[in-house]
Amino acid sequence: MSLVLPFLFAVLGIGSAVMVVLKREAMQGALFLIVTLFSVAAIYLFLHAEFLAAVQIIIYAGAIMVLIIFVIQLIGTDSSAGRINNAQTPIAVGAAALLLIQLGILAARSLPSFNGNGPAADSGLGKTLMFSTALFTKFIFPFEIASVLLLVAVIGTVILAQKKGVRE
Amino acid sequence: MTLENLTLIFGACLFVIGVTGALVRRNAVVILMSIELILNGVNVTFVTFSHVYGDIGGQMMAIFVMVVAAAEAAVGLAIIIALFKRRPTVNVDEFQVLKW
Repeated sequence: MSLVLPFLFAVLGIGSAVMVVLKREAMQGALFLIVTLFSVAAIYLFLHAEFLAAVQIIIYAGAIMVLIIFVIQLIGTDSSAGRINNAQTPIAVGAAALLLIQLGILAARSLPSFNGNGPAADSGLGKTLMFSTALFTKFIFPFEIASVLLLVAVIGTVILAQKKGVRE
Repeated sequence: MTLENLTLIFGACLFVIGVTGALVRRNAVVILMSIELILNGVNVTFVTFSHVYGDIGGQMMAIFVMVVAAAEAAVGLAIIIALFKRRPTVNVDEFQVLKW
């Protein structure tokens, strides 16, 4: 298949990810992160993961990012926290460049199983039927643990956000 | 270059950009957003290999990573707000009480 569209979405995703990190204002970074999440959802569509693309948009870009934007608006702007150049920047950028080179070499190497076609179009790989069948039969245990995790997260958030603050 | 190569490199770039942001930025909310970038990079890698091997397990792993990311974002933001109530800043350089 033609690689033009996936390449465009990948460039869009990486560009807006760089903007998330570089922008001084947290609010602008959050908006660029939403663009990144949408481009990742588009890449999921190319990878036969349609259900995951929908979940990504609904949950990640629709719930998590709204939560983050709420908190950014509550906190307001913090001019001291906008500095990007500090003592750790050279080390961090150097380590990140090294990691990117390593990962890039790994990713660019073609394994024999990369035939570029992927699963058959009618195998129903990322469609809701196979996804939900696997989720409720083979992966039922992580599913239940995930619900317990979410319950714990809700309880923890409520306790942390109490008016009197955490008990000393 | 196949589609899988492209998406693997895309996931690697997202991961590395997220790591750089988490190390360099000082705003606590921006650090949290960089961690979300890291998790998205990992998700893209999982879904790529699910596509290569035709196995649904990669997408399953990706959705559980999303669940954990949602829980972690909620608790992390609650922590940031609790910190902000104490001292009206989100600059992580200012919170040095635990430093030896």
